[in-house]
Amino acid sequence: MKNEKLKIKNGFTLIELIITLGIFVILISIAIGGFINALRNQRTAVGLMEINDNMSLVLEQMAREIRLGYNFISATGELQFKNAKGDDVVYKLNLDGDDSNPKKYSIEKGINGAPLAPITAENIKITDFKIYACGENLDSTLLADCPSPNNIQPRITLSLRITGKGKDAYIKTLGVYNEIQTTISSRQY
Amino acid sequence: MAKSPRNNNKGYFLIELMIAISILTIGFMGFLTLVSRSISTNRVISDYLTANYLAAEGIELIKNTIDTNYFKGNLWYDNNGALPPESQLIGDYEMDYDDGAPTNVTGLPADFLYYKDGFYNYDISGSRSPFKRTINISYPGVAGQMKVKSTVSWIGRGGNAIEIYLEDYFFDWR
Repeated sequence: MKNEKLKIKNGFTLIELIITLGIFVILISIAIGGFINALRNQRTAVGLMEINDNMSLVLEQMAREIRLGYNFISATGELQFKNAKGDDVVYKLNLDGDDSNPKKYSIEKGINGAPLAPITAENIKITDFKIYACGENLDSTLLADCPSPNNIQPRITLSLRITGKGKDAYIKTLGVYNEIQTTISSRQY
Repeated sequence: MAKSPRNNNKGYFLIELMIAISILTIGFMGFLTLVSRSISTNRVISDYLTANYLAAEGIELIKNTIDTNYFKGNLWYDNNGALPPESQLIGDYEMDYDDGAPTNVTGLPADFLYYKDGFYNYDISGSRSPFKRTINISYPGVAGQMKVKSTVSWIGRGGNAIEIYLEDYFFDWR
């Protein structure tokens, strides 16, 4: 009798402990796996959000200025024109130096010859900034990207392809890109 | 007699633990699914953003055509017959970023835009984007007033059809 009572108070055996721990570990590892996955997804979502925010900001800013701009000059990854105030504006994709340059792959803006300053965030990588310019400028120069006849009202097509870099570089490895395009017809006449 | 209650007690301990952990895990997983959902929502937003700018492009291209007509001294809606005559009430058009004039596609199903060399257009040699675009031009009955409706449609990531459109009115005036 005494022995039995002692056994009851002793609780569980080693086997029980191992089984319980085993089940516990399996369930917890499933949960942790899911949690890690969710964290990764969350980071991707935030990265994608940053891409979209930067993209709409830069495209909207350029579109507004181009709409009232005139005398456009386009080059590869670069657009120069006069804005509504008559200032010389340049938008340019920075491709200087190697990947250690934090400003590389950002779109930069300069006014009246002042040094260019980036208008996109450092963790945004613009892999493509394409400009397609058509029409006849106010100063009678031709933007000859379109098939002729070129004597049309000037219009600029902007195309951006964006992904992440720096702390958001992982979204590039996930293939998270966004391609966006719009056309702006100059209202200057 | 003394043995069976002892065994029962031990069993309860194990089952209780398993049930507790299972409930915790299931609850946790529900929460995780919710977090994962946010990424797909963001993709949907990306599509909307791209589609919006493509629709805006459609409007701008028609505005450009009208301004070109002024530039060349043509009738405001004329483009070698490309824009509908002012008497024709409705018509569907397609125009690429590098086209000189819109093309009448009235009665035809909307075409996909293709992504090629960094640009979206109707050239089928590119890779097909999810987006279709049609520009509807009509005259709402007032002389010298043109209504332009640019529609972009695509199949969303959940398989549902999404359509957005932008509308603008242009006048025989600038």
